[in-house]
Amino acid sequence: MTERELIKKLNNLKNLKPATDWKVSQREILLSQVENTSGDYQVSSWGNFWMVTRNVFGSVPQFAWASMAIVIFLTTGLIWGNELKVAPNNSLYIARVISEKARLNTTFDSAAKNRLARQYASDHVRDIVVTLSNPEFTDSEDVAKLNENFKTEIAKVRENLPAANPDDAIVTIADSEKATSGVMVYDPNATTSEPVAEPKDAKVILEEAEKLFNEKDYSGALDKLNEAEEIIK
Amino acid sequence: MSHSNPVQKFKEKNLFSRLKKKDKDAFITAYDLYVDDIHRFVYFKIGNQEEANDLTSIIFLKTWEYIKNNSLSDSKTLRALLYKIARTSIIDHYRQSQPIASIDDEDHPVDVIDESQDVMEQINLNSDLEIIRKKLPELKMEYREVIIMRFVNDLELDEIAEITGKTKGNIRVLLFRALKALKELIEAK
Repeated sequence: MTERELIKKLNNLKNLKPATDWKVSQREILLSQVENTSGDYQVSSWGNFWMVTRNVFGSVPQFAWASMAIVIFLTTGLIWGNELKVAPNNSLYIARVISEKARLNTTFDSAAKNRLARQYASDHVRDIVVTLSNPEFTDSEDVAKLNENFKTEIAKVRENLPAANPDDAIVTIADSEKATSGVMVYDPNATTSEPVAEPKDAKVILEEAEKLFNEKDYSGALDKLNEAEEIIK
Repeated sequence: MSHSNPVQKFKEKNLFSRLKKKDKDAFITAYDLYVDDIHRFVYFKIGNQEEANDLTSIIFLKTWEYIKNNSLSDSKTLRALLYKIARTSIIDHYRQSQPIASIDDEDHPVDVIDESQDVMEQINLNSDLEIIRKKLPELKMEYREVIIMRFVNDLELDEIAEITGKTKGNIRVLLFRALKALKELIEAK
């Protein structure tokens, strides 16, 4: 006989019960004896409500409350996390990052996904710069971590910059001969102030921002980032 | 009556809270809830049905007296309180008299099975009871007690620890040894 079988047999013994007649008669005897003793039960409806509430909390295991709290935290983070403009050194920052990742993973249009990724990375970069520009923020470990994050995030912004679209390029008159003959050609290298030059300019500005960041000129870096943002928009 | 179900646990906590306010109806509900377990516990400890009946009645009355005259601590459960009173009542019973028959007494077969149980259940039960009837009384009282509380009446380890005044670790060890001893007794037949 295994231990499991033995326990099962022991468990079967719980079917042993006293005779029903005996139980009923004892219940009546007990009831009459209890009724004869003093002891009043008076509890207000508020008291009753409080008692029930306390017992509900006491009955559910602590790990269930903990799990529920985690689920609520994550759900809240997923729904409103990206609305939270918390700094990278804030404990709620993780909720924001999770929420952003969730939103990115549920965006299936690649153009929209790139735009979103760039926007998030750009926001992170700006937040890192703002955080580091705070003179009270001196924890060397956190500073090193944010410096590292800055490099990662700015690389993401660069990766997700909109590519030059030939359709949007300005049709220029490349050749006076052709112009006279009325032939219009596409020249992607044409220098204009129109959108065809934007990706390159944004990249350059981002590089300048990175350089200023490395020189710890945070306000200058922030200006450059704003400038790049304007161009990208 | 297991504590693992949160709904059951809530009901028991609510009942205990009402008992702290000396609610008589709550006590009768507690009787309905625990009479089978306490009777079974007493029966397996003293081995005689009539005495188990009498002692069970005494235990419930003593419990009401205790509830009436004492403020119940939050850390205690009603089950633990009932078992504690059951244990002291059994000890008193042994001090006052010798058992006239026990579950290992061939001349006094026990008959505590409710008539409402179906035939197959009774056959299985009788076969299991036969093993216990012969072997359980051979175990040390300490082993027998923890086996009944844990594997027959489904008490939690911390409840058994509270009832017996031992640590949870001790109870675990005791249960392991008790099961091993019972298994050896059964296999040695």
